[in-house]
Amino acid sequence: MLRRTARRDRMIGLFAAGAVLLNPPILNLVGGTVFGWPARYLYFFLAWAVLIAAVAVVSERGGGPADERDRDGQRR
Amino acid sequence: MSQPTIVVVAIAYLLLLFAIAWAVEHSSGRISRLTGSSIVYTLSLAVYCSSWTFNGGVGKASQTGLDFLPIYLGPTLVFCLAPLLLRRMLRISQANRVTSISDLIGSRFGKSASLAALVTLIAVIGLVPYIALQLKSISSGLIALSSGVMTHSLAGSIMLDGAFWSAIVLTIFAMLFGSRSIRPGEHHPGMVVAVAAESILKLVSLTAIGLFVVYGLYGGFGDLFTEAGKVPEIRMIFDQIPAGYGYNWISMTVLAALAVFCLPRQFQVMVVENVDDRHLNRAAWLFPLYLLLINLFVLPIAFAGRMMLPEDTDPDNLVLALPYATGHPMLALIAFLGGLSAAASMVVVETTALSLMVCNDVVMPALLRVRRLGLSSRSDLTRLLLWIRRAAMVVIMALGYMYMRHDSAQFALVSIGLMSFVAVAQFAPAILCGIYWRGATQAGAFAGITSGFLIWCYTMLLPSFARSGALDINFLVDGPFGIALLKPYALFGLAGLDPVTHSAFWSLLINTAMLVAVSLAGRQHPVERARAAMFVGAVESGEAAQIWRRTALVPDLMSLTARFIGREKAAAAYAGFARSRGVDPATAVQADAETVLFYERLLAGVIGAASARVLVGAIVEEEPLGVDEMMRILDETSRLIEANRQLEEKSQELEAATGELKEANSRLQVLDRLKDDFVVTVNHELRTPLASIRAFSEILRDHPHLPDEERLEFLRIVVTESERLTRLINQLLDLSKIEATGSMPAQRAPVDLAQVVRESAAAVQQVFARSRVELRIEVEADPAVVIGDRDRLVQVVINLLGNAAKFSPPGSGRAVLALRRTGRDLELSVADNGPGIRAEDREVVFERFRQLGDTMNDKPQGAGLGLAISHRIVTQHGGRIWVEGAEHGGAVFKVRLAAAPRSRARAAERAGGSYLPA
Amino acid sequence: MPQRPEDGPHGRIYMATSVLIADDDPSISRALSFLMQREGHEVRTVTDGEQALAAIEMQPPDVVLLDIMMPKGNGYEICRTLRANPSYDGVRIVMLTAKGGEADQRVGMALGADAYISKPFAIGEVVSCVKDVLARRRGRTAPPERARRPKAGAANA
Repeated sequence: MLRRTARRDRMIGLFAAGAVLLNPPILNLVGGTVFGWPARYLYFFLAWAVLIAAVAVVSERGGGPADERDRDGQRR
Repeated sequence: MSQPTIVVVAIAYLLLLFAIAWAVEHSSGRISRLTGSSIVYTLSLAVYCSSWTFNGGVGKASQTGLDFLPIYLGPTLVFCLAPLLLRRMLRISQANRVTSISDLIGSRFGKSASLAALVTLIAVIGLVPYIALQLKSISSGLIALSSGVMTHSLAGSIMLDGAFWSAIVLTIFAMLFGSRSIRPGEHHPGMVVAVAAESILKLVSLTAIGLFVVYGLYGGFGDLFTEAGKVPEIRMIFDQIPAGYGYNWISMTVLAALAVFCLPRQFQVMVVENVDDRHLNRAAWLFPLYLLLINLFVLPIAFAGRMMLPEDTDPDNLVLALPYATGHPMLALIAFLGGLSAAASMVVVETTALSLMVCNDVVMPALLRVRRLGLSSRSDLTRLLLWIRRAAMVVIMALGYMYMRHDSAQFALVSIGLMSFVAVAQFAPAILCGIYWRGATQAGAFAGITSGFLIWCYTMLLPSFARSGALDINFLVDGPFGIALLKPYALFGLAGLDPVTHSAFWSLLINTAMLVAVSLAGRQHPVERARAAMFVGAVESGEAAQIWRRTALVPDLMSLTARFIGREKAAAAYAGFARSRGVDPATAVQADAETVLFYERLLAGVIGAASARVLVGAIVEEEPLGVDEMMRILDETSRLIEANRQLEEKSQELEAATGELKEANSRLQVLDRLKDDFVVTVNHELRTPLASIRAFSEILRDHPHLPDEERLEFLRIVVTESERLTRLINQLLDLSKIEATGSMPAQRAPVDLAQVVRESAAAVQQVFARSRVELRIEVEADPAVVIGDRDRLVQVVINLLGNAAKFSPPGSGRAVLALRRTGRDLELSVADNGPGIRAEDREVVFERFRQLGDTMNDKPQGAGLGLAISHRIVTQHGGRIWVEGAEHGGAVFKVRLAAAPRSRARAAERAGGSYLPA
Repeated sequence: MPQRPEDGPHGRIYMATSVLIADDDPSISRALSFLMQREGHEVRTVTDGEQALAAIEMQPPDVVLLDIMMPKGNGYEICRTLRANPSYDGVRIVMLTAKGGEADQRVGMALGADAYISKPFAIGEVVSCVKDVLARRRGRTAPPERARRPKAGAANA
């Protein structure tokens, strides 16, 4: 029970983090160029990739007992 | 490249896809198992990336920079919520055999046929421009590739011809993929695998062009961006915040987030075609990853396009034009095939989903209601269903073609796509409220969707007609009849937003407001309430079924179902259902409410919930059920469920408590065993010196005439052993005192370690002199103030020095006591040149009574408690004690303690080094 | 295995009895060796398990005074090793322990020790105990020895 809600809460946390970090006004704080690259392009794709990696870790590792229960719930 | 060649290649490619689909549905080998893979599922979700992504995204990027990205950020964020939102939608849809987005909304709100029809209507109207856009993109690509004309100004007739033929070809393919047979559950595994294959091609193709542009035309990302930075207009994109970046970006993100589950084609691949809801876990990150990868090269391609191609090149054609203009027609062909894949997969899945909705939620219910046709008594309706769907596909495609003829040149690809996004986003409030809020009513949903749609028409659709000249343009500029407050792009005076954001804001706001207000104001019909409870998940379907109290004869239901899904399948399904309830399928004749519900769902899987309800309603007797009775049943059920839930919670709590208890118990057992070990060791350590004392005392008593020499030796032993015993007892008392104060030192006052060092050294001077070991003192930090118990710290230093004296070789022994500062900590070390301590023993020397017999030539003089006591004292002071090997074989004991904060250190200094408690 | 020439059924009686004292505590070792020398025995002392085994192998003593808690192989291990080798059947084992529990005593006896003394001990107790086991050895004839071994083995298992 705990683990399932923990995973859910983590995913909500990632959702919130992504929503805040990849939207204005925070996004607009990044501007200009870094080593000739557009900084905002670099920032957006890096943050995006990190978000996806975090979601991957949470959703793939969230297996175990909680997941078993999930599946049982579905069969019902 | 000649046009026929391109057409042949394109058709050959589509045929190949069809062959894949056919193989999936007809073979039983590995290929048919592809649909069970989470990768294929994820790739099929990528039908989201239509030609709009492929060509339009680059076009937009070339104009405004990163503005295209929110379209992919939205889905990424929604997929973060996959375990909450999408999984719930999936479960509800599967439990209710929902076959489309209109079905979902219709069944949630009392299986309302009219609501489902409204949703279907909106979906068709909203998506026709989107389909038109795909046709436009294919034909302009075709023409660009065959004629080399990349500008906006295409000769009208050729353009229309291309679009016309591609519409026809795509319609045929949609029919082949999406309406070849009627299958329960509306699964189209062949289509799913074909779409997945197309998704791979899209990604490969765009990446190939991207690599070609970045590394073929330029010397890598850095070079490209440096070059781009020299162009002033592009430079502007780097540095400035374009005007739309505020609300515009956010509204795009929200729209895309809603569209990714409201678009009929997304609902089709994500929910209807899903075979295993665990696939969502994988898709939660894999789908966003796909989106990231496919967008990686969009900006570089766009920049390159702006730098290398003439000004009048159609931005939406950049992907094709770049390789073409630089003399790589094969690459251009690959780009064309990628765009074709994107467009074709979108059109096929979208028309399949829409035709299903039109057939199940509009046409069939209407036909079934017309009793004159006698449809409900016809024996085989599958062919009729198929033809209705095919006709619907033709009509939808024709509408798309007509819209394109009318309007296509007016907007860039992205703008048209966003118009559709706003339209389908109108379903989101009803869906979200429907699955989370029990109180949402049918009337509320109706009011919300209708008002949202009307505002969309007014702020998006009509202006698009006005701009194409079909309506008076003054309608846009001055508002209808010159009423400025009603200007479609600045409704109620809300100016300054771009049209899409403006329309999305008003339509979604009023949609949601109406849904909530009407739901709150009105009352739910009891049947509606039951369905709401079922959707929101509080009531099991079996329990909800009794609310209807419908009865019928099993053979009637059976023959009805058989007409749609075939007798064998119907019989097999019912047999399974009957077995699961413990009923003999052969003998049961009277169907109870749950059986009726089962049949209704079985039918719903084929013809949609609305039609199924009409059909089943025709042969079922519905007992009128008093509202009072209904409420009683509902209340009882929800009470039971609540009690059940509480029970479950309690038992889980209990389980958790038991687990904790077990853990505590095992911890206690370990402690107990340690305690036992301790007692045994103390016993041993006490008995050993006692044994010597007793033995020699008795020897002296029984042998009065021993030589003086021996007598003296024995007496000395007795004295030494008595001292050992005393020391041991003292240390045991010490240890118990230290342990009694718990995790904190008894005193907490500033202590100057430099003083401690000097004092301890003075105390052990005698010992060192006796064992002829040289002691050197190096104090580098003076004062060195820590917070703690001074006497205990002195004890630690004396203990360590005692050890050093004991183990250093007499005569040549050298010990060094040092105190220095390391960062914020103070480090005290005592080094000796004795035998040292083996690496594997360095941890255990701090345990009580640990005897390191291997390195000790004779019995240590202490009782083995000194280091244990030191360890405990240091730990209580929040520090660390450990032992290392010295350079020339000895041991170095080190103690690290946190230095006191400056203020307290100064306080100690002011006190003149005396140790007043702070 | 070096066999001592005088190891005949009668030859040993007139020889000095040899005692091996294995204890890591020097004071106790000293006390015991004093006592055994006073009794006229030939005494060797060792301070750990390895040395004890080496000393026994070099020249099997008549009696071993064996401390249980010793570094490098405790008393129980040495006892088991000795009893597993029939050529040491002639070696009497007296266990010395500071643990003093009855359970330890039973373990020691089951492993084939001949006597058990707990620390602290009365010196008279040690002296008589050693005499006792030596007497048992002298009075022993062949058949009882064979009868003992299976018994020890059974207890071992």
